[in-house]
Amino acid sequence: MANTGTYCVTTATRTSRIGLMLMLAGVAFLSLTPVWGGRSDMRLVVEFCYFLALAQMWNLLAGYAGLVSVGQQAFVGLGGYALFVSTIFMGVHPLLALPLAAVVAGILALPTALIVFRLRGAYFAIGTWVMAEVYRLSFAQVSVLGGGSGQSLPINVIKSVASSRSDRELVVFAIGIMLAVASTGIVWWLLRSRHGLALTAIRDSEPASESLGVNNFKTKLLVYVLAAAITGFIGALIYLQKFRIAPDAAFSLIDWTAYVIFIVVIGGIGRIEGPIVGTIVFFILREFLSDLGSWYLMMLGLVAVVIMLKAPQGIWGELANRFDLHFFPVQRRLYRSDGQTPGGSA
Amino acid sequence: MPLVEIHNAHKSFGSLVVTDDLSMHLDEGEALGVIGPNGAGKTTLFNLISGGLAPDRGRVTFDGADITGVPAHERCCRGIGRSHQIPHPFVGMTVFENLLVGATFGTGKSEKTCYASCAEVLERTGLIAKANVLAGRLSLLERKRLELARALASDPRVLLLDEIAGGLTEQECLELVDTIRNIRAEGISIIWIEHVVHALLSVVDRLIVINFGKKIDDGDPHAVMNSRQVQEIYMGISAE
Repeated sequence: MANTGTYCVTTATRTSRIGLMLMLAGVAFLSLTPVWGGRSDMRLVVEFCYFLALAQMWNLLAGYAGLVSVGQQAFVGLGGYALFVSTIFMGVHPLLALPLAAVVAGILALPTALIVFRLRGAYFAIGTWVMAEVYRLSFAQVSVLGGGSGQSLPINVIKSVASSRSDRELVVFAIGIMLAVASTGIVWWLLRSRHGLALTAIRDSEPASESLGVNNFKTKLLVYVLAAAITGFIGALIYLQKFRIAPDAAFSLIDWTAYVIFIVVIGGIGRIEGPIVGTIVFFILREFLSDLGSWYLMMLGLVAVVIMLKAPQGIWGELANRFDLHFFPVQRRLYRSDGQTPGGSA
Repeated sequence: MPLVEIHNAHKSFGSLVVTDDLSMHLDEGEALGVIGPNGAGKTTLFNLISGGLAPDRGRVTFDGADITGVPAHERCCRGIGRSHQIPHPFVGMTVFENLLVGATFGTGKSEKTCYASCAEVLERTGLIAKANVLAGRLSLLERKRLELARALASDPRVLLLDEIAGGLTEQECLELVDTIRNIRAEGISIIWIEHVVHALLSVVDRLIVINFGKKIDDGDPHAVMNSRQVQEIYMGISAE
């Protein structure tokens, strides 16, 4: 029997280096949009980035912590309104308002969690939706923010980002790229840390994780608040790009949660690569089908149903299982230091 | 001073009384067996000790401290490890990672310092060859071993084993008994609920019998097995 001192642990896999290269190439390609593309391409890439970031956050909640929230639009809206309130009424610089929006959303996630964490499963999902509606209706009551019809960012606030239009677009674009990279990176880092062990354990069996010393409640709360804060940042960026906010759009279930769930489910829930694949597929479908009006939504529904039936682990789940691909490896594999693996591959 | 002690615990679900004024204790280093018919309240007893359930009345103490209100995860950190009757593997993690959860959170140590101890537990419980296999792909025996190994990885002072030998073949059962004997020899106290009585009797020093949530016998395993009350419960022999 081998001495235990001779074991070592690695998370790297054969395919992880290829994956890293592909990701770097993808990020480089998107970062160079201002070189190869026009203004509309840049807007599209920013949109791609924030949908990817939203999807990473929803995947972290639902795919790992088992928190199937259909109320993440609450934090998009809160982030957006935090941007408007802090820049218009408090004179905060718009770029400083982005992290501030994250803080506001994170703080408001605490009382929200105190309410929705009392609920389980489907009731939790409905509870998060109701909370988002409460926020939407509350903001519609605030007349200084334009009530139900909303408000635009004053021109002096917009100009304080950068004086020329192209510079402003470049700033928003750069933040968008960083946001997509950072949200993916944070999820990866979290899953490779001890929190990742706890989260994956909670996903697979709550009674077992609790009886092995994992504080399920604290772990879920941490993830919920983290996801809310980053979603708040995303919300602020979205409305810094749009310049105009209204409660119905800012707290839109369809835009900020339904599409995001679609992305994660078709891409592959519970995997970091899933949201990336899902966002790409979503944008391809949208580019080709969005002229079809309501047929477009029906097509999306059809795609979702077919994938859920034929590939319940999503597109990436199928590919990863078939070809043993792990672009963002989080699995800890035990090796003997003489290079032999003690037991089979997962 | 006993390691684990239950004082007059009472637990009911609606009108169904599952623990009825039950008191028991486990001494340090002791191996205690628990038997009783299905639905007698044996698993509830484990839940009271491990923190899955709180008693309606009564107290639970561990190492002299009252832990009645202490949450389950903290009881694990204090040294109460358990295996579940129906295995709850973390199916999407490897066997090694399953142990890492217990080792890092059950002991509070950093992940890296737990690698060696987890590998060692895998060797002791005969799972080393499956270290990198996803737990969802294990057989029943392997899942039962994993329950045991995961609890051991949390470095417990007392191990609660819930019907770990059920459903195994004779040979598998013998191997498991061997493993449990070794664990005991290392000084870990054990409470073992089991229907496979011959396996149980080959390990435990003392046996308690539970029926309808009450403790009805407590003492030397063979004396308890031969007592009239136990014969009545198991064989249906009338007392007359």
